[in-house]
Amino acid sequence: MKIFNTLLLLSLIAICSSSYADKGLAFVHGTGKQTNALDDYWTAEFVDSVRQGLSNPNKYTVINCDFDQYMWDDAAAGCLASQLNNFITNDNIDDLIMITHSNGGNIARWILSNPTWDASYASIINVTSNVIALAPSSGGTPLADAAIEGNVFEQAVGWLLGYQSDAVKQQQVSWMDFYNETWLYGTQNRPATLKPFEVVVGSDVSSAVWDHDSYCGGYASQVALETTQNWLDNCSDGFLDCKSQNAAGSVWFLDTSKTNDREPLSHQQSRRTCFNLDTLLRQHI
Amino acid sequence: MSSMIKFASALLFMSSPLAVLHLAHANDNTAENTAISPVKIELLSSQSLVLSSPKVSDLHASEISSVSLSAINTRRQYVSYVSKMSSHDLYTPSMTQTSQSDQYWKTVTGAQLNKGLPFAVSQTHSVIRLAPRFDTLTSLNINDTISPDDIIVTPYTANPDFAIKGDPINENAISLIYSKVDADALATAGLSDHSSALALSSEAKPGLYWLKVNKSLPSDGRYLLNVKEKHSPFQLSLNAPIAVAENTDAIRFNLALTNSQAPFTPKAFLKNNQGQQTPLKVIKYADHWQALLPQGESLSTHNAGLSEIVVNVDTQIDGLPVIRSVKTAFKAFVNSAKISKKVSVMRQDKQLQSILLNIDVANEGRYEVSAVFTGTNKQGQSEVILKTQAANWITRDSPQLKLMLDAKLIQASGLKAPFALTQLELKDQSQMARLSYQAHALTFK
Repeated sequence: MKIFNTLLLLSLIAICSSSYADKGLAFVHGTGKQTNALDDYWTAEFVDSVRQGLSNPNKYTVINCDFDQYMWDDAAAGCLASQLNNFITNDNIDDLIMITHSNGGNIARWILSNPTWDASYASIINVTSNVIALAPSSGGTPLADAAIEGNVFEQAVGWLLGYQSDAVKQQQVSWMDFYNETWLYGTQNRPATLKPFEVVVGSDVSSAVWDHDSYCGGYASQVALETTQNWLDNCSDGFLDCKSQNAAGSVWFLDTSKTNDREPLSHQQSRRTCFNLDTLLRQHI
Repeated sequence: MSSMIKFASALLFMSSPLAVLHLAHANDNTAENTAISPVKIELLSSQSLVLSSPKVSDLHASEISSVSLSAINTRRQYVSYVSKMSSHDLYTPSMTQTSQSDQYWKTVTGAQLNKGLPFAVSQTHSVIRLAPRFDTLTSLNINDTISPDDIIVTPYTANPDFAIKGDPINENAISLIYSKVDADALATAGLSDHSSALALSSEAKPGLYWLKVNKSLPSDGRYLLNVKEKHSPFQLSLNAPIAVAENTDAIRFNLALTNSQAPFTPKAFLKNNQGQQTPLKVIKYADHWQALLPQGESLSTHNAGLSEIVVNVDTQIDGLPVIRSVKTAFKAFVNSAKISKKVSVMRQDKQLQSILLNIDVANEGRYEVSAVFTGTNKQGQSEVILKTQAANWITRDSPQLKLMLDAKLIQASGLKAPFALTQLELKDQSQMARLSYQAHALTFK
């Protein structure tokens, strides 16, 4: 009888665990309108590697939204909330981890900071256990200012909007100062985000043509990087100053403190399988 | 059954002037309230209180007026969110922001670039960037980007004599340039605005130069000329408000140029969220400046996005020209609502349940109120318990907003009366503006 009861109990546990709610992983892309972010933004190699850190690696989603819009826009945060809620419901997720890159961190932070903006945000906040923000543009970038300055948008030609989109306007430094101070949590002297916001900071760009590491994740013109560096601090990932990346939340690690051979992560490399970033994420989730 | 409830209600009401018998949905606009069985009776009591008066350091408006621009958030649902909070999450909102600049920028035309125009640098290794600004008002098209090979820089002379390629003067000019980057290369480095850049060499000493583009450009084409001087000792710093009400006459700002006592007269511009600039008259006071805002003109054309105050300074330091542009962003808003002073603290079975506020609105819209709720410990000190926030579509006919409290969190905190509502903040989600903030709003037992 005892054996029967034990077997029955084990069977029940097995049945329960298979239908039980689970940890899920969402990959949230950066600026741009994505329809296939898996291939066009992250790469399957990166996503497939990171999701192996889940007890059930199939419980993941890759978000595809229009992040050319302001963060609060229905096409941006609204779309993200909708896709996350579908994922939570369909996959029975009760423990959500978001991995964001660049401006994707701002969209996630918008949801985590504004629970009353939309009734669908609360359910996401409640199941989110952590946001891992890869090189988030929390403090904006002077390169956005450089791209926007001098434009008159009322007369802007249509094709230009992809380059000088609302998302680029939003990531100007003084604009992010305003949003951080008024609408977003997590920066200094502001309430903490409603859930942890852990940041991976990219601190430099390895761009020497003789260095194989420079090619991981794509290659940027060295002389162009030297030029744009004039708008950035000495500590930057080639697109964002370190102080912008760590403006909100808490720093999980500065790239060189954990990457292979202490290689820095450029802005492109912080969403690729460069220098064991994928392994670090896999182990962390 | 219904008549029994009414009867019980009448009895309770008679027994205590504060006690009312209350059925779910009888009072509020809460979408998230769950329906309660008709047989269940909730005993609610209401305590009428008055908010304290705002202090000078608080943000508040006595007059309200209507918003004419389209609302951003038009959601009609009541949403409430209560979160546990600790004292280190407390904050005081900043009303200003500061920007620093070691660069300047201005818009020039294709005709000016083809003719040649003077520009100044205040240090060696400055970077010059030329970016076409495409719009429907000019005849610029995608082919009108400027190759860095077509850009000529020569030392300033009273009568510029730009030579063609191969000319001795041009050979001399090339030595002023350290490196050149075209638009495609800059795009690989995250600057995707079709600009070209020249880094000047150590030969390009501080002073004036001529800049000319050899390629024929549309004469009405608009280009951004941006000169960046990284690590310059001369940084222009601007401190200005992060929010400006539409009925404001002037923007107060502070300016400072580091490592310089040189006098300057700033030129200020209002840039709306579409990028259109309006020059502003600037007045100097003892310790600050004021930019007078255009009367009768809206500071903003849309609720999305921000406006900017842009300040240009052109001065001489030790006989050398120093030019700087700096800007800060601000939200142009209308004081569309305010919180009424009379509030009701609601208790259910003697446990704190919610605080009912009335919002005076000039026009309907989606408004959010948030506040930090505190209690008192055994030593008589105030401690934070929770943050509560709620938003709803508020109209003049339906002005109430219910700030929920969490009896379990309050009980778990072990804190007792007097309780307080601090950091009371009103935001207009329709125009995305913070309307008021009160550090200490209410204390009650």
